[in-house]
Amino acid sequence: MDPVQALLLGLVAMLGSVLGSMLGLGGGIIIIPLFTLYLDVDPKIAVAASAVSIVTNSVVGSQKHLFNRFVNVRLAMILEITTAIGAIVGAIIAVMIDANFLRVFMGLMLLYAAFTMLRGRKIAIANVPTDTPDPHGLMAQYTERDGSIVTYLPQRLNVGIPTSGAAGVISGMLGIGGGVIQVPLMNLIMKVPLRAASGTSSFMIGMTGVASAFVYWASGTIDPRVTIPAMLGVFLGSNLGSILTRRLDTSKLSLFLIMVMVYLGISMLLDALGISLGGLF
Amino acid sequence: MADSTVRIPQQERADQIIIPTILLLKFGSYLSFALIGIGLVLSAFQNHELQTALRSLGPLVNDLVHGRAAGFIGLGILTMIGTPVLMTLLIALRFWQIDERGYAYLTLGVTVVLIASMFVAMIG
Repeated sequence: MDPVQALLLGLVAMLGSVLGSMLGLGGGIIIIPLFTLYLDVDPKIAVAASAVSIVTNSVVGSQKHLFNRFVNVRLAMILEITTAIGAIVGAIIAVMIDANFLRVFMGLMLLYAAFTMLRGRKIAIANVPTDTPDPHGLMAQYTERDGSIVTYLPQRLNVGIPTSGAAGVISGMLGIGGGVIQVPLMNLIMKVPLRAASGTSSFMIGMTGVASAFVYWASGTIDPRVTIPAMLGVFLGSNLGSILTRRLDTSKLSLFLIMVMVYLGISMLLDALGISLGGLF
Repeated sequence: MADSTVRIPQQERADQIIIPTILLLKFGSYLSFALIGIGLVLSAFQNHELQTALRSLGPLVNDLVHGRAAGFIGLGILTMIGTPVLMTLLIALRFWQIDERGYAYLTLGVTVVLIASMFVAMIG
């Protein structure tokens, strides 16, 4: 293993994980384009390494989210059934299709993610009364930093469950956690506050990643020379991200990330056409 | 309108699931990184290049039995991937214990899907 390459892979994974944990994404949406565009990693190897890193990010990051009660375990399990099945289907598709198609799909996903992040920046969810009818027992609470209790009740399960399945297919295909779909889904459509949507998504991402990681394992696309630096980078980044979240203004950061994602999305699309924008970063 | 600052029983029951889940996730992540660390140290001493692909359990077990770096690294990665599977089993059990049978079955369903992914992977 080339130590310089390993260090660069680890640093990129750490950056992806820091930004991911601060903004409720798995980090794969940042890791994969940087690995493939700038570190010369084959897209299939990058997708597989990202899937394992996403599990790592979730296993490490969810501990804090669970402790802060930002995870709605019941909602996670309802949505995870279709998400996990979708992820298996997606991973099988990814192993079979052309790497160039993955580049195009990833580019489009990055542009979509940038768009949803731009939209999602303005959404606020009101507290629900505790006596609101709750037939599925999904009402949950967490405490804000100022001591106030936030009570919310996830809505529109009929939309959330199938959309989660589609998110699973995309997660499995691209090795991303699916947070880029799950967080806006829960926040904009199911009316879950952003903190709880991010926490629940981060928790689900680990399970979704497992379903596809096994498929990648069996297909021989998990390369320890790429995966281990990525896992270690994600481990450090996940811890650093949770510390920085408390200290930094995430709205400015999300604007910066939106610009980076648009740039990476266009780069991936052009890369698929054989045109390189490399060298700007 | 009811006071939305009152603690709700749904959250109090969910709290009984959270602590054991955190402990399991902590244990899984530490064990995984410990195994990978042992593998990397062994790799340096044994002067072995890391394998380019992890594919099946047979060679992994063989490497472990012979104390080779690849075995520990492979097991470390598998431990990380396997931790969320164990977590779903634990959560299913906790839902059962707090008398939320519907969610217990649902979580068990998630576990079954995750385990099925292993079999799909092996067949594929």
